[in-house]
Amino acid sequence: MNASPDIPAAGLEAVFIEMRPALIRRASAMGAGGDAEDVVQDVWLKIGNADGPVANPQAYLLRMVYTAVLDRRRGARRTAARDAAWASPANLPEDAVEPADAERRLIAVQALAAVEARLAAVGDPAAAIFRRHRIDGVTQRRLAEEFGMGLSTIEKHLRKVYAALLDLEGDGA
Amino acid sequence: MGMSATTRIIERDALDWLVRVNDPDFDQWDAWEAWLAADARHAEIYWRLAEAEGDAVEALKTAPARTLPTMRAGRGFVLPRRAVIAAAVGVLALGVAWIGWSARPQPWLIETAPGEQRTVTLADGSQVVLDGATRLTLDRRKPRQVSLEAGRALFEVEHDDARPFLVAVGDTTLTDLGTVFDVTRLQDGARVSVSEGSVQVDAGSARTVLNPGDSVVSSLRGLERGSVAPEDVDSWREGRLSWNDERMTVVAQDLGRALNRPVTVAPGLADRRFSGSLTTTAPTADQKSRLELLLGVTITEAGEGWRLEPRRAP
Repeated sequence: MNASPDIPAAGLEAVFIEMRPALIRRASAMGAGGDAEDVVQDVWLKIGNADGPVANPQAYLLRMVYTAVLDRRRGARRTAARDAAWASPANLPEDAVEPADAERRLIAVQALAAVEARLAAVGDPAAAIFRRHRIDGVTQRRLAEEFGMGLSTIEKHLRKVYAALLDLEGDGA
Repeated sequence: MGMSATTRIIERDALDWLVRVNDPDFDQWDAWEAWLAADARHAEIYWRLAEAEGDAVEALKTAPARTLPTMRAGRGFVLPRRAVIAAAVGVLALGVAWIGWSARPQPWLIETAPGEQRTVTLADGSQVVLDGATRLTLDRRKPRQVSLEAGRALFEVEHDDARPFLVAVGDTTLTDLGTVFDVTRLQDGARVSVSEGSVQVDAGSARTVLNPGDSVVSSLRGLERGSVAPEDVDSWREGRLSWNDERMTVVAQDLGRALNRPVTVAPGLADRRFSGSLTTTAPTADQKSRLELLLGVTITEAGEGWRLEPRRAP
């Protein structure tokens, strides 16, 4: 699955149709279980929005399946957490007509502050590498060039940031 | 917390996989799936970490400072202004390390509120201390070029012969020659004072080089050189303003920023020179009479602003 020329979005759909059974198997193996078909359906809906040609459609679609599985899991966990909070009377908001928007914004601001604080604690260059990688989507290989480091050093920096964000012990590896 | 050694090992492996899977170039899907399937705890722990990391990245993406237009709209934004600025500065400090990755201009704006000071470290190690009510723009593609749009900033520049550090202040361009220097944007130009190293100042046809203890005011009249005690160059960081034979119009602009109110000068005083220093942290009521004494002027209030006028006969 290499060296294929850039394929326009319409061609991506053709590749999707051809790969669909394989994508469902992948989604299932990734842990989507009975939701595998829905996951792949999500991917189908999203490739309509693909902007620009895709260099490696197979890899692109696999990445999309992975992201869709992850997003579903995150969504399910958030829903579960919210239901749990609402089910407990003690946690009912005092004023139930309070706009949920403001609350959501507040939570987002707090989450952002928490993440920023952890990034700041790790410091640069690790934090800068992490942002370039995870926010801007720059590949690790390119980061190695940008920061003038070996690939394994980039990986080590990223690992350090992940560990800090995820409350894992430093670098046991 | 009683976590088993096995769990810790799985977490470590899961983290290794997560770092690799998140790389857009990742293509070891078969190997990863095999690891995931090898033990039920693998998938459980992997996804727990992946979900949490995904949440963190999503939170980061909500940072308003990541896009310039939102920053500029900062005044009307839902976040407290301070948070917006803090986020902007935090992101900036990291952001400048990213230069060169995109062909598009990647402008950054850093703004401080009146009375607020911020220190920003750039990717090359250079530091910029922003005084209150100061606006600085940068371009990710050009890490060693900044533009002071308003206010005052102290630069401590890591010198690099191959890549000079440039500061644009209106029509005046400063080139560091290895340096600590202070720059103030004035209504019709700029003032530059050097405490270490040297700075080349280009203002249209006029050009000069400043060494420690030198200062210059660049305005429509051209370049006017002056001098400054090197230790006074950054005294504003501690709330002390110092002037040495400074034109009153320039003194008024410094005062305006420090006191957060417009300070104007009566025409008769504009060209008077002043030497002296002042602590700007005193309470406002006291400040006015102290200023009158110090500057030898009478201050009249005009709305929010203060106007410096020739002292009236008693």
